[in-house]
Amino acid sequence: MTSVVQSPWTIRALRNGLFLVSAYLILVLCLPLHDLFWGDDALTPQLGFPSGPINFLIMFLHQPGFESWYPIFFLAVLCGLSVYLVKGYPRLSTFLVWIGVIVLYNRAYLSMVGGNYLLHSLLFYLIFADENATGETVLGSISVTLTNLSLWACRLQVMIVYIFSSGYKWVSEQWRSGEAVYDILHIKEFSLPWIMESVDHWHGLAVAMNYFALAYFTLFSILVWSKRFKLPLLVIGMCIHLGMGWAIGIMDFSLIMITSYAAFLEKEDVNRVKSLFTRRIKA
Amino acid sequence: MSLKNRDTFDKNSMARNAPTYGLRKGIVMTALAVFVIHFSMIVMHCMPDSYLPARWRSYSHWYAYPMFHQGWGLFAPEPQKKYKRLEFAYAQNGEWSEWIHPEQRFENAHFSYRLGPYSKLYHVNQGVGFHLWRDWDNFGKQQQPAELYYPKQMGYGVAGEYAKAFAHHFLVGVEPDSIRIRIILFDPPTGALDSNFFPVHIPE
Repeated sequence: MTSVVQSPWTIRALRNGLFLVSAYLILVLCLPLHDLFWGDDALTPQLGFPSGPINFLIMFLHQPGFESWYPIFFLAVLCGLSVYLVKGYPRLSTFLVWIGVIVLYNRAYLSMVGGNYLLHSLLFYLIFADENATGETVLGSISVTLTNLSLWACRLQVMIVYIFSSGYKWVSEQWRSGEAVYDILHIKEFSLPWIMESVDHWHGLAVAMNYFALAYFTLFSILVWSKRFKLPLLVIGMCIHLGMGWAIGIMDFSLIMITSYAAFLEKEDVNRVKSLFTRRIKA
Repeated sequence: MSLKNRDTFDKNSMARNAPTYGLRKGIVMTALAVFVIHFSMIVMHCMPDSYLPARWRSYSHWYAYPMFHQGWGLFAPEPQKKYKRLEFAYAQNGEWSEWIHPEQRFENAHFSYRLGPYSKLYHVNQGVGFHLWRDWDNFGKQQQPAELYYPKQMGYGVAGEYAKAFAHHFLVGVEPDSIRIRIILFDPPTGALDSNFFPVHIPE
């Protein structure tokens, strides 16, 4: 029976990354326009939702009369981040960030991208993780078990994204024919003016990018477990997501996906990269 | 048996004989069971509806929505092929305004500052257009007239409220009595245009 936290460094890195992204999503993307996203005259109307205590909580701002309570959830995020910075308390701080982010974004539902769903799930799983847990007592061993399971939940969740994403793409005629990237770069919402003007001249490159992305999404769930291929795979993934985020204008999605890669990193991987750079500099 | 191995053996047997061993094992097995059930539900929720019996599908959707919902945006199965431009006209004191393109308010910022908040607003605007287009797409698959069909649809309801809030925030002095909504579909490679007008929306 496991009584040691398997990868404390990984959990810490993933939590730090998700907290940084959450701070960006809430404080940079939405706070300057908070009355448009959540105020009494928000751009998106409230929705009905299934009954139940959990739905009541996470759809809190959709209830008539509670529209203007949104600053409480801003404070929850801020408190979570502050508590984590000052005191640690990983479980409490993650719960506060999670509840703040999920309630605020569920209300501004039309501003959500796919990455938000992933962020909400990863934050939720990390509520159960405490990288400082030790398994000497009964409570301690429960804590360690929950911590290890939550890291595996994060990894499994990211794999679900890649497995289903590639599966759905393989059944799509657009992806199979190699036209998906070409088509999307024609749409103003997901492109840039100069790309729309010039994409017809590099149709072949767009087709190559289509098949490269398809291969990447398909192979991710297998190669991420290979010590040899993991680091190059994650670096390529970062480049794909940054390029995609900038070209099609969904940087928040890209940042969340890149942050989720931390779930697969170990301290030794970072040391390997560091030593690679050190050797290069010395040479 | 070496001394080292004997030590390990002794520790393991002590752990197994400890009074809390059963309790710990029970807790670990429960946590594992929850883990397996949770991810089974998530996997079923993400699968295409046609792959599952209706009852399983409804259980998995009930479980996953809205807390663990993972939808189109996360898997991006089919990129959109047509650009959807949302347009509004406002009636005030019986006079209709010109057609207004709300996207123009956010467009330049979306192109110039990919990490900024107006890029987010641009996607909100396009999200409204997407839901409205879906209502339009489904309109042909049913028998009701537009006046009865659209007011029951999410996209039309969201678009009406969005148009009203847009006027409130961005159009000085406009307090609309009624709102006209239309959507223009633009097919970039062919340059073909298509449009649909929706029933007049009366703000509450």
